[in-house]
Amino acid sequence: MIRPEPGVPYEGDPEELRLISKSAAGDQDAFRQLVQQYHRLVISVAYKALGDMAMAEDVSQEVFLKIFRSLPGYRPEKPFVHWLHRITANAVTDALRRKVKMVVSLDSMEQPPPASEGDPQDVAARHALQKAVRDAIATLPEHYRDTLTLQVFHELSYDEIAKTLEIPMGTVMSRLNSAKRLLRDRLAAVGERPVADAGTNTASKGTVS
Amino acid sequence: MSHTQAREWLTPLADGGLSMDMRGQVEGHVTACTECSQELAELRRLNLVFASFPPAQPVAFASYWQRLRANLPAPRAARRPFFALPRRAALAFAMAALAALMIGGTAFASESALPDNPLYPVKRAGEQVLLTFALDQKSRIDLQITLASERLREAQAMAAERKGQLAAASLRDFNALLRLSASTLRQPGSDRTVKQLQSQLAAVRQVNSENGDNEDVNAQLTEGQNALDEDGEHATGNTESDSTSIVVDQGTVSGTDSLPANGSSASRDSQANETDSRANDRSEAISRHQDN
Repeated sequence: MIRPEPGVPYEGDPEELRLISKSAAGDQDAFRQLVQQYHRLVISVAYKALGDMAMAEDVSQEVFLKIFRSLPGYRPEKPFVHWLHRITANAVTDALRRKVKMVVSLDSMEQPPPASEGDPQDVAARHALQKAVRDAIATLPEHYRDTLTLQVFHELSYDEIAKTLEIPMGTVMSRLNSAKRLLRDRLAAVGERPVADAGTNTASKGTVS
Repeated sequence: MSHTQAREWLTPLADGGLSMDMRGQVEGHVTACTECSQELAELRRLNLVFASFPPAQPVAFASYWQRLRANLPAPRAARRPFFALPRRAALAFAMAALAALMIGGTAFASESALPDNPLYPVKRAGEQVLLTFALDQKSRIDLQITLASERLREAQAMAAERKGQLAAASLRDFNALLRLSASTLRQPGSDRTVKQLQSQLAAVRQVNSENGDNEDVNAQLTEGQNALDEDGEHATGNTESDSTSIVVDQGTVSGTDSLPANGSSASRDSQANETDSRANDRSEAISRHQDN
Protein backbone atom coordinates (compact mmCIF):
# COMPACT_ATOMS: atom_id res chain seq x y z
CA MET A 1 0.00 0.00 0.00
CA ILE A 2 1.26 3.44 -0.90
CA ARG A 3 1.42 5.77 2.00
CA PRO A 4 3.36 8.93 2.71
CA GLU A 5 6.18 9.00 5.22
CA PRO A 6 4.87 10.00 8.64
CA GLY A 7 5.15 13.72 9.25
CA VAL A 8 5.90 14.58 5.64
CA PRO A 9 3.20 16.54 3.82
CA TYR A 10 1.74 14.37 1.09
CA GLU A 11 3.04 15.24 -2.32
CA GLY A 12 2.07 12.01 -3.98
CA ASP A 13 3.87 9.54 -6.12
CA PRO A 14 4.41 11.59 -9.31
CA GLU A 15 3.71 8.59 -11.50
CA GLU A 16 0.46 7.90 -9.67
CA LEU A 17 -0.58 11.55 -9.79
CA ARG A 18 0.07 11.51 -13.53
CA LEU A 19 -2.18 8.47 -13.91
CA ILE A 20 -4.84 10.09 -11.75
CA SER A 21 -4.89 13.32 -13.71
CA LYS A 22 -4.97 11.51 -17.05
CA SER A 23 -7.78 9.28 -15.79
CA ALA A 24 -9.68 12.33 -14.59
CA ALA A 25 -9.47 13.68 -18.13
CA GLY A 26 -11.03 10.46 -19.39
CA ASP A 27 -7.91 8.48 -20.36
CA GLN A 28 -9.02 4.88 -19.99
CA ASP A 29 -5.56 3.43 -20.42
CA ALA A 30 -4.25 5.45 -17.48
CA PHE A 31 -7.28 4.37 -15.48
CA ARG A 32 -6.59 0.74 -16.34
CA GLN A 33 -3.19 1.06 -14.67
CA LEU A 34 -4.76 2.55 -11.55
CA VAL A 35 -7.30 -0.25 -11.41
CA GLN A 36 -4.57 -2.82 -11.90
CA GLN A 37 -2.73 -1.33 -8.95
CA TYR A 38 -5.72 -1.25 -6.58
CA HIS A 39 -8.26 -3.87 -7.61
CA ARG A 40 -6.86 -6.52 -5.29
CA LEU A 41 -7.16 -4.19 -2.31
CA VAL A 42 -10.77 -3.28 -3.09
CA ILE A 43 -11.85 -6.85 -3.83
CA SER A 44 -10.14 -8.08 -0.68
CA VAL A 45 -11.99 -5.54 1.49
CA ALA A 46 -15.31 -6.36 -0.17
CA TYR A 47 -14.79 -10.10 0.20
CA LYS A 48 -13.91 -9.83 3.89
CA ALA A 49 -17.07 -7.80 4.43
CA LEU A 50 -19.45 -9.83 2.29
CA GLY A 51 -17.98 -13.33 2.34
CA ASP A 52 -19.09 -13.89 -1.23
CA MET A 53 -16.68 -13.67 -4.14
CA ALA A 54 -19.22 -12.79 -6.85
CA MET A 55 -20.75 -10.07 -4.72
CA ALA A 56 -17.30 -8.76 -3.77
CA GLU A 57 -16.37 -8.45 -7.43
CA ASP A 58 -19.62 -6.66 -8.25
CA VAL A 59 -19.09 -4.15 -5.45
CA SER A 60 -15.46 -3.56 -6.44
CA GLN A 61 -16.62 -2.80 -9.99
CA GLU A 62 -19.09 -0.27 -8.59
CA VAL A 63 -16.26 1.27 -6.59
CA PHE A 64 -14.06 1.78 -9.64
CA LEU A 65 -16.91 3.18 -11.72
CA LYS A 66 -17.60 5.63 -8.93
CA ILE A 67 -13.92 6.53 -8.75
CA PHE A 68 -13.70 7.08 -12.49
CA ARG A 69 -16.65 9.44 -12.36
CA SER A 70 -15.43 11.29 -9.27
CA LEU A 71 -11.75 11.57 -10.17
CA PRO A 72 -12.06 15.14 -11.49
CA GLY A 73 -13.08 16.09 -7.94
CA TYR A 74 -10.09 14.40 -6.30
CA ARG A 75 -7.65 16.87 -4.73
CA PRO A 76 -4.08 15.61 -4.47
CA GLU A 77 -3.51 17.21 -1.04
CA LYS A 78 -4.83 13.95 0.33
CA PRO A 79 -3.29 10.57 -0.51
CA PHE A 80 -5.26 8.81 -3.20
CA VAL A 81 -5.38 5.61 -1.17
CA HIS A 82 -7.29 7.34 1.69
CA TRP A 83 -9.83 8.57 -0.79
CA LEU A 84 -10.07 5.09 -2.27
CA HIS A 85 -10.61 3.56 1.18
CA ARG A 86 -13.40 5.96 1.90
CA ILE A 87 -15.27 5.28 -1.32
CA THR A 88 -14.73 1.55 -0.88
CA ALA A 89 -15.98 1.63 2.72
CA ASN A 90 -19.18 3.39 1.66
CA ALA A 91 -19.87 0.95 -1.17
CA VAL A 92 -19.05 -2.07 0.97
CA THR A 93 -21.20 -1.07 3.94
CA ASP A 94 -24.10 -0.27 1.59
CA ALA A 95 -23.76 -3.70 0.01
CA LEU A 96 -23.51 -5.36 3.42
CA ARG A 97 -26.70 -3.67 4.56
CA ARG A 98 -28.51 -4.66 1.36
CA LYS A 99 -27.30 -8.21 1.90
CA VAL A 100 -28.53 -8.32 5.48
CA LYS A 101 -31.96 -7.14 4.34
CA MET A 102 -32.13 -9.85 1.73
CA VAL A 103 -30.78 -12.47 4.06
CA VAL A 104 -34.16 -13.53 5.41
CA SER A 105 -35.17 -14.89 2.02
CA LEU A 106 -31.77 -16.09 0.92
CA ASP A 107 -30.53 -17.62 4.14
CA SER A 108 -31.59 -21.09 3.22
CA MET A 109 -29.75 -20.86 -0.10
CA GLU A 110 -26.47 -19.61 1.26
CA GLN A 111 -23.69 -22.13 0.92
CA PRO A 112 -20.78 -22.25 3.34
CA PRO A 113 -17.43 -21.75 1.57
CA PRO A 114 -15.68 -24.95 0.50
CA ALA A 115 -14.04 -26.42 3.58
CA SER A 116 -10.43 -27.29 3.05
CA GLU A 117 -9.50 -28.24 6.54
CA GLY A 118 -10.80 -29.14 9.95
CA ASP A 119 -13.88 -30.70 11.40
CA PRO A 120 -16.93 -29.87 9.19
CA GLN A 121 -18.85 -28.92 12.33
CA ASP A 122 -16.16 -26.46 13.35
CA VAL A 123 -16.09 -25.01 9.87
CA ALA A 124 -19.86 -24.57 9.86
CA ALA A 125 -19.74 -22.99 13.30
CA ARG A 126 -16.99 -20.62 12.27
CA HIS A 127 -18.92 -19.68 9.16
CA ALA A 128 -22.03 -18.98 11.25
CA LEU A 129 -20.07 -16.80 13.65
CA GLN A 130 -18.41 -14.84 10.84
CA LYS A 131 -21.78 -14.25 9.26
CA ALA A 132 -23.29 -13.15 12.57
CA VAL A 133 -20.43 -10.68 13.06
CA ARG A 134 -20.80 -9.23 9.55
CA ASP A 135 -24.55 -8.86 9.96
CA ALA A 136 -24.15 -7.23 13.35
CA ILE A 137 -21.63 -4.74 11.94
CA ALA A 138 -24.11 -3.88 9.18
CA THR A 139 -26.73 -2.88 11.73
CA LEU A 140 -24.49 -0.55 13.76
CA PRO A 141 -25.10 3.21 13.66
CA GLU A 142 -23.34 4.77 10.69
CA HIS A 143 -20.25 6.34 12.27
CA TYR A 144 -19.54 3.22 14.32
CA ARG A 145 -20.07 1.03 11.29
CA ASP A 146 -17.74 3.06 9.08
CA THR A 147 -14.95 3.19 11.64
CA LEU A 148 -15.21 -0.49 12.46
CA THR A 149 -15.35 -1.39 8.74
CA LEU A 150 -12.06 0.38 8.18
CA GLN A 151 -10.47 -1.57 11.01
CA VAL A 152 -11.97 -4.99 10.40
CA PHE A 153 -12.41 -5.28 6.63
CA HIS A 154 -9.84 -2.76 5.41
CA GLU A 155 -7.38 -3.80 8.14
CA LEU A 156 -6.21 -0.23 8.67
CA SER A 157 -4.27 0.96 11.70
CA TYR A 158 -5.72 3.59 14.07
CA ASP A 159 -3.54 6.18 12.39
CA GLU A 160 -4.71 5.24 8.90
CA ILE A 161 -8.35 5.27 10.01
CA ALA A 162 -7.88 8.72 11.50
CA LYS A 163 -6.39 10.02 8.25
CA THR A 164 -8.98 8.35 6.06
CA LEU A 165 -11.93 9.73 8.01
CA GLU A 166 -10.11 12.99 8.84
CA ILE A 167 -10.87 12.66 12.54
CA PRO A 168 -8.53 12.70 15.56
CA MET A 169 -6.97 9.46 16.76
CA GLY A 170 -8.76 9.75 20.12
CA THR A 171 -12.08 9.77 18.29
CA VAL A 172 -11.08 6.64 16.40
CA MET A 173 -10.31 4.86 19.69
CA SER A 174 -13.51 5.91 21.43
CA ARG A 175 -15.64 5.06 18.39
CA LEU A 176 -14.08 1.63 18.10
CA ASN A 177 -14.53 1.05 21.81
CA SER A 178 -18.23 1.93 21.67
CA ALA A 179 -18.72 0.13 18.36
CA LYS A 180 -17.30 -3.11 19.73
CA ARG A 181 -19.28 -2.88 22.95
CA LEU A 182 -22.45 -2.48 20.89
CA LEU A 183 -21.34 -5.28 18.59
CA ARG A 184 -20.87 -7.65 21.52
CA ASP A 185 -24.34 -6.76 22.81
CA ARG A 186 -25.91 -7.46 19.43
CA LEU A 187 -24.05 -10.75 19.07
CA ALA A 188 -25.14 -11.79 22.52
CA ALA A 189 -28.73 -10.95 21.58
CA VAL A 190 -28.64 -13.40 18.66
CA GLY A 191 -26.85 -16.03 20.74
CA GLU A 192 -23.47 -15.66 19.01
CA ARG A 193 -21.36 -14.52 21.85
CA PRO A 194 -17.64 -15.04 21.34
CA VAL A 195 -17.05 -15.19 25.07
CA ALA A 196 -14.14 -16.65 26.97
CA ASP A 197 -15.96 -19.79 28.09
CA ALA A 198 -15.80 -21.20 24.60
CA GLY A 199 -16.36 -24.73 25.79
CA THR A 200 -20.07 -24.07 26.22
CA ASN A 201 -20.48 -22.14 23.01
CA THR A 202 -20.24 -24.11 19.80
CA ALA A 203 -20.35 -21.00 17.65
CA SER A 204 -17.06 -19.66 18.92
CA LYS A 205 -15.23 -22.96 18.91
CA GLY A 206 -13.93 -22.58 15.40
CA THR A 207 -12.22 -19.30 16.17
CA VAL A 208 -10.20 -20.61 19.05
CA SER A 209 -7.04 -22.33 18.15
CA MET B 1 -7.12 4.56 37.05
CA SER B 2 -10.85 4.31 37.69
CA HIS B 3 -13.05 1.52 36.36
CA THR B 4 -14.95 3.90 34.04
CA GLN B 5 -11.73 5.33 32.63
CA ALA B 6 -10.18 1.90 32.12
CA ARG B 7 -13.25 0.64 30.26
CA GLU B 8 -12.73 3.35 27.65
CA TRP B 9 -9.27 2.01 26.87
CA LEU B 10 -10.04 -1.69 26.63
CA THR B 11 -10.35 -1.74 22.85
CA PRO B 12 -7.03 0.03 22.24
CA LEU B 13 -5.47 -2.32 24.77
CA ALA B 14 -6.85 -5.41 23.00
CA ASP B 15 -5.72 -3.98 19.64
CA GLY B 16 -2.20 -3.29 20.93
CA GLY B 17 -2.66 0.42 20.25
CA LEU B 18 -1.58 1.89 23.61
CA SER B 19 1.68 3.47 24.62
CA MET B 20 3.72 1.50 27.20
CA ASP B 21 2.82 3.95 29.94
CA MET B 22 -0.90 3.92 29.21
CA ARG B 23 -0.89 0.19 28.79
CA GLY B 24 0.60 -0.28 32.24
CA GLN B 25 -2.09 1.89 33.82
CA VAL B 26 -5.02 0.13 32.09
CA GLU B 27 -3.61 -3.34 32.74
CA GLY B 28 -3.13 -2.37 36.38
CA HIS B 29 -6.86 -1.93 36.72
CA VAL B 30 -7.87 -4.87 34.52
CA THR B 31 -5.97 -7.47 36.54
CA ALA B 32 -7.84 -6.36 39.65
CA CYS B 33 -11.29 -6.13 37.98
CA THR B 34 -13.25 -9.22 36.94
CA GLU B 35 -15.67 -7.30 34.73
CA CYS B 36 -12.89 -5.59 32.79
CA SER B 37 -10.77 -8.71 32.40
CA GLN B 38 -13.85 -10.56 31.08
CA GLU B 39 -14.56 -7.71 28.64
CA LEU B 40 -10.93 -7.65 27.49
CA ALA B 41 -11.06 -11.39 26.86
CA GLU B 42 -14.21 -10.94 24.78
CA LEU B 43 -12.58 -8.16 22.77
CA ARG B 44 -9.59 -10.37 22.07
CA ARG B 45 -11.91 -13.16 21.03
CA LEU B 46 -13.71 -10.77 18.71
CA ASN B 47 -10.36 -9.84 17.15
CA LEU B 48 -9.79 -13.53 16.47
CA VAL B 49 -13.10 -13.68 14.62
CA PHE B 50 -12.07 -10.63 12.58
CA ALA B 51 -8.76 -12.28 11.77
CA SER B 52 -10.57 -15.42 10.65
CA PHE B 53 -12.23 -13.74 7.65
CA PRO B 54 -10.56 -15.52 4.75
CA PRO B 55 -8.69 -13.60 2.03
CA ALA B 56 -10.25 -13.17 -1.41
CA GLN B 57 -9.32 -15.46 -4.25
CA PRO B 58 -7.20 -13.81 -6.94
CA VAL B 59 -9.11 -12.58 -9.99
CA ALA B 60 -7.95 -12.54 -13.61
CA PHE B 61 -7.26 -8.89 -14.29
CA ALA B 62 -7.84 -8.99 -18.05
CA SER B 63 -11.46 -10.07 -17.78
CA TYR B 64 -11.98 -7.91 -14.70
CA TRP B 65 -10.88 -4.86 -16.71
CA GLN B 66 -12.93 -5.87 -19.76
CA ARG B 67 -16.05 -5.89 -17.66
CA LEU B 68 -15.23 -2.58 -16.01
CA ARG B 69 -14.35 -0.87 -19.27
CA ALA B 70 -17.65 -1.92 -20.81
CA ASN B 71 -19.40 0.18 -18.18
CA LEU B 72 -17.13 3.23 -18.22
CA PRO B 73 -18.55 6.38 -19.72
CA ALA B 74 -16.89 6.72 -23.12
CA PRO B 75 -15.11 10.07 -23.29
CA ARG B 76 -13.13 8.83 -26.29
CA ALA B 77 -16.30 8.63 -28.31
CA ALA B 78 -16.78 12.33 -27.65
CA ARG B 79 -13.20 13.43 -28.09
CA ARG B 80 -11.17 11.19 -30.35
CA PRO B 81 -13.46 11.10 -33.35
CA PHE B 82 -13.71 14.85 -33.11
CA PHE B 83 -10.01 15.28 -33.66
CA ALA B 84 -10.02 12.52 -36.22
CA LEU B 85 -12.56 14.32 -38.40
CA PRO B 86 -11.24 15.73 -41.64
CA ARG B 87 -9.98 19.19 -40.98
CA ARG B 88 -12.69 20.90 -43.01
CA ALA B 89 -15.48 19.12 -41.12
CA ALA B 90 -13.77 19.81 -37.82
CA LEU B 91 -13.57 23.47 -38.66
CA ALA B 92 -17.23 23.56 -39.62
CA PHE B 93 -18.09 21.91 -36.34
CA ALA B 94 -15.93 24.30 -34.39
CA MET B 95 -17.53 27.24 -36.19
CA ALA B 96 -21.00 25.96 -35.36
CA ALA B 97 -20.05 25.40 -31.75
CA LEU B 98 -18.47 28.82 -31.60
CA ALA B 99 -21.59 30.39 -33.05
CA ALA B 100 -23.73 28.55 -30.53
CA LEU B 101 -21.46 29.80 -27.79
CA MET B 102 -21.66 33.38 -29.03
CA ILE B 103 -25.39 33.50 -29.71
CA GLY B 104 -26.52 31.42 -26.80
CA GLY B 105 -24.04 33.00 -24.42
CA THR B 106 -26.44 33.12 -21.52
CA ALA B 107 -27.72 29.62 -22.03
CA PHE B 108 -24.16 28.39 -22.26
CA ALA B 109 -23.25 30.19 -19.10
CA SER B 110 -26.20 28.96 -17.10
CA GLU B 111 -25.83 25.36 -18.17
CA SER B 112 -22.10 25.08 -18.03
CA ALA B 113 -20.31 23.26 -15.26
CA LEU B 114 -18.70 25.03 -12.33
CA PRO B 115 -15.16 24.17 -11.19
CA ASP B 116 -16.41 21.79 -8.49
CA ASN B 117 -18.45 19.85 -11.04
CA PRO B 118 -17.00 16.56 -12.32
CA LEU B 119 -17.77 17.73 -15.86
CA TYR B 120 -15.69 20.86 -15.47
CA PRO B 121 -12.53 19.45 -17.15
CA VAL B 122 -14.71 18.47 -20.11
CA LYS B 123 -15.98 21.99 -20.37
CA ARG B 124 -12.45 23.38 -20.22
CA ALA B 125 -11.24 20.89 -22.80
CA GLY B 126 -14.11 22.01 -25.05
CA GLU B 127 -13.06 25.62 -24.64
CA GLN B 128 -9.51 24.76 -25.63
CA VAL B 129 -10.85 23.09 -28.75
CA LEU B 130 -12.83 26.18 -29.66
CA LEU B 131 -9.79 28.38 -29.09
CA THR B 132 -7.66 26.08 -31.20
CA PHE B 133 -10.09 26.21 -34.08
CA ALA B 134 -10.94 29.90 -33.88
CA LEU B 135 -10.48 31.05 -37.45
CA ASP B 136 -8.72 34.35 -37.02
CA GLN B 137 -7.19 36.41 -34.30
CA LYS B 138 -10.34 38.44 -33.84
CA SER B 139 -12.69 35.55 -33.24
CA ARG B 140 -10.13 34.02 -30.94
CA ILE B 141 -9.91 37.15 -28.85
CA ASP B 142 -13.69 37.54 -28.82
CA LEU B 143 -13.91 34.01 -27.51
CA GLN B 144 -11.22 34.73 -24.93
CA ILE B 145 -13.25 37.65 -23.63
CA THR B 146 -16.38 35.52 -23.43
CA LEU B 147 -14.40 32.89 -21.56
CA ALA B 148 -12.93 35.55 -19.27
CA SER B 149 -16.43 36.57 -18.35
CA GLU B 150 -17.28 32.92 -17.74
CA ARG B 151 -14.25 32.57 -15.42
CA LEU B 152 -15.61 35.47 -13.36
CA ARG B 153 -19.00 33.81 -13.15
CA GLU B 154 -17.30 30.66 -11.84
CA ALA B 155 -15.17 32.62 -9.39
CA GLN B 156 -18.28 34.31 -8.00
CA ALA B 157 -20.07 30.98 -7.59
CA MET B 158 -17.04 29.39 -5.92
CA ALA B 159 -16.51 32.37 -3.63
CA ALA B 160 -20.16 32.14 -2.60
CA GLU B 161 -19.51 28.56 -1.53
CA ARG B 162 -16.28 29.54 0.22
CA LYS B 163 -14.27 27.41 -2.15
CA GLY B 164 -11.41 29.90 -2.16
CA GLN B 165 -8.90 27.74 -4.00
CA LEU B 166 -11.26 27.09 -6.88
CA ALA B 167 -12.32 30.73 -6.99
CA ALA B 168 -8.68 31.84 -7.06
CA ALA B 169 -7.91 29.32 -9.82
CA SER B 170 -10.74 30.67 -11.99
CA LEU B 171 -9.50 34.20 -11.33
CA ARG B 172 -5.96 33.25 -12.26
CA ASP B 173 -7.27 31.96 -15.57
CA PHE B 174 -9.35 35.10 -15.94
CA ASN B 175 -6.22 37.23 -15.52
CA ALA B 176 -4.39 35.12 -18.07
CA LEU B 177 -7.24 35.56 -20.58
CA LEU B 178 -7.27 39.27 -19.82
CA ARG B 179 -3.61 39.55 -20.71
CA LEU B 180 -4.22 37.62 -23.93
CA SER B 181 -7.07 39.94 -24.85
CA ALA B 182 -5.39 43.20 -23.87
CA SER B 183 -4.75 44.26 -27.46
CA THR B 184 -8.50 44.22 -28.19
CA LEU B 185 -9.66 45.55 -24.86
CA ARG B 186 -7.45 48.58 -25.38
CA GLN B 187 -9.03 49.38 -28.71
CA PRO B 188 -11.14 52.51 -28.68
CA GLY B 189 -14.74 51.48 -28.17
CA SER B 190 -14.01 48.53 -25.92
CA ASP B 191 -14.66 50.54 -22.78
CA ARG B 192 -18.11 49.07 -22.43
CA THR B 193 -16.74 45.54 -22.38
CA VAL B 194 -14.11 46.60 -19.88
CA LYS B 195 -16.76 48.20 -17.68
CA GLN B 196 -18.83 45.06 -17.78
CA LEU B 197 -15.89 42.93 -16.71
CA GLN B 198 -15.09 45.48 -14.00
CA SER B 199 -18.58 45.27 -12.56
CA GLN B 200 -18.46 41.47 -12.68
CA LEU B 201 -15.11 41.60 -10.90
CA ALA B 202 -16.55 43.91 -8.26
CA ALA B 203 -19.36 41.43 -7.72
CA VAL B 204 -16.84 38.65 -7.11
CA ARG B 205 -15.01 40.87 -4.61
CA GLN B 206 -18.26 41.59 -2.84
CA VAL B 207 -19.22 37.92 -2.62
CA ASN B 208 -15.73 36.98 -1.47
CA SER B 209 -15.70 39.61 1.27
CA GLU B 210 -19.02 38.25 2.54
CA ASN B 211 -17.77 34.66 2.49
CA GLY B 212 -14.53 34.39 4.37
CA ASP B 213 -12.60 37.09 2.50
CA ASN B 214 -10.11 34.64 0.99
CA GLU B 215 -6.71 36.29 0.54
CA ASP B 216 -5.69 34.38 -2.58
CA VAL B 217 -8.94 35.44 -4.19
CA ASN B 218 -8.32 39.06 -3.22
CA ALA B 219 -4.80 38.98 -4.63
CA GLN B 220 -6.11 37.71 -7.98
CA LEU B 221 -8.94 40.24 -7.91
CA THR B 222 -6.49 43.09 -7.40
CA GLU B 223 -4.38 41.92 -10.30
CA GLY B 224 -7.44 41.75 -12.53
CA GLN B 225 -8.65 45.13 -11.33
CA ASN B 226 -5.35 46.79 -12.19
CA ALA B 227 -5.24 45.20 -15.64
CA LEU B 228 -8.80 46.26 -16.39
CA ASP B 229 -8.16 49.80 -15.17
CA GLU B 230 -5.24 50.04 -17.52
CA ASP B 231 -7.23 48.58 -20.43
CA GLY B 232 -10.06 50.99 -19.64
CA GLU B 233 -7.77 54.02 -19.76
CA HIS B 234 -6.68 53.07 -23.26
CA ALA B 235 -10.19 52.29 -24.39
CA THR B 236 -12.02 55.42 -23.19
CA GLY B 237 -12.26 58.46 -25.38
CA ASN B 238 -14.19 56.74 -28.10
CA THR B 239 -17.69 55.61 -27.21
CA GLU B 240 -19.18 55.18 -30.66
CA SER B 241 -19.65 51.44 -30.19
CA ASP B 242 -23.03 50.93 -28.57
CA SER B 243 -22.86 47.32 -27.58
CA THR B 244 -25.21 45.86 -25.03
CA SER B 245 -23.14 42.95 -23.95
CA ILE B 246 -19.70 41.53 -24.32
CA VAL B 247 -20.92 38.65 -26.36
CA VAL B 248 -23.08 40.56 -28.81
CA ASP B 249 -20.60 43.40 -29.15
CA GLN B 250 -17.68 41.23 -30.04
CA GLY B 251 -19.62 38.60 -31.88
CA THR B 252 -21.70 40.56 -34.36
CA VAL B 253 -19.40 43.26 -35.57
CA SER B 254 -16.96 40.79 -37.01
CA GLY B 255 -15.07 42.00 -40.01
CA THR B 256 -16.23 45.59 -39.75
CA ASP B 257 -14.70 48.18 -37.52
CA SER B 258 -13.01 46.83 -34.45
CA LEU B 259 -10.55 44.33 -35.86
CA PRO B 260 -7.24 44.35 -34.08
CA ALA B 261 -4.85 46.50 -36.08
CA ASN B 262 -2.52 44.50 -38.26
CA GLY B 263 0.79 46.23 -38.80
CA SER B 264 -0.63 49.72 -38.53
CA SER B 265 2.44 50.74 -36.60
CA ALA B 266 5.69 49.18 -35.59
CA SER B 267 5.10 49.68 -31.92
CA ARG B 268 1.70 48.01 -32.03
CA ASP B 269 3.22 45.09 -33.89
CA SER B 270 5.82 44.53 -31.28
CA GLN B 271 3.20 44.81 -28.58
CA ALA B 272 1.07 42.22 -30.34
CA ASN B 273 4.02 39.89 -30.65
CA GLU B 274 4.79 40.21 -27.01
CA THR B 275 1.18 39.51 -26.16
CA ASP B 276 1.26 36.48 -28.39
CA SER B 277 4.33 34.99 -26.78
CA ARG B 278 2.80 35.53 -23.38
CA ALA B 279 -0.32 34.01 -24.80
CA ASN B 280 1.55 30.81 -25.48
CA ASP B 281 2.99 30.72 -22.00
CA ARG B 282 -0.39 31.24 -20.49
CA SER B 283 -2.17 28.63 -22.55
CA GLU B 284 0.40 26.16 -21.35
CA ALA B 285 -0.26 27.29 -17.83
CA ILE B 286 -3.98 26.89 -18.40
CA SER B 287 -3.67 23.41 -19.73
CA ARG B 288 -1.37 22.50 -16.86
CA HIS B 289 -4.00 23.77 -14.51
CA GLN B 290 -6.48 21.60 -16.30
CA ASP B 291 -4.29 18.57 -15.92
CA ASN B 292 -4.29 19.07 -12.22
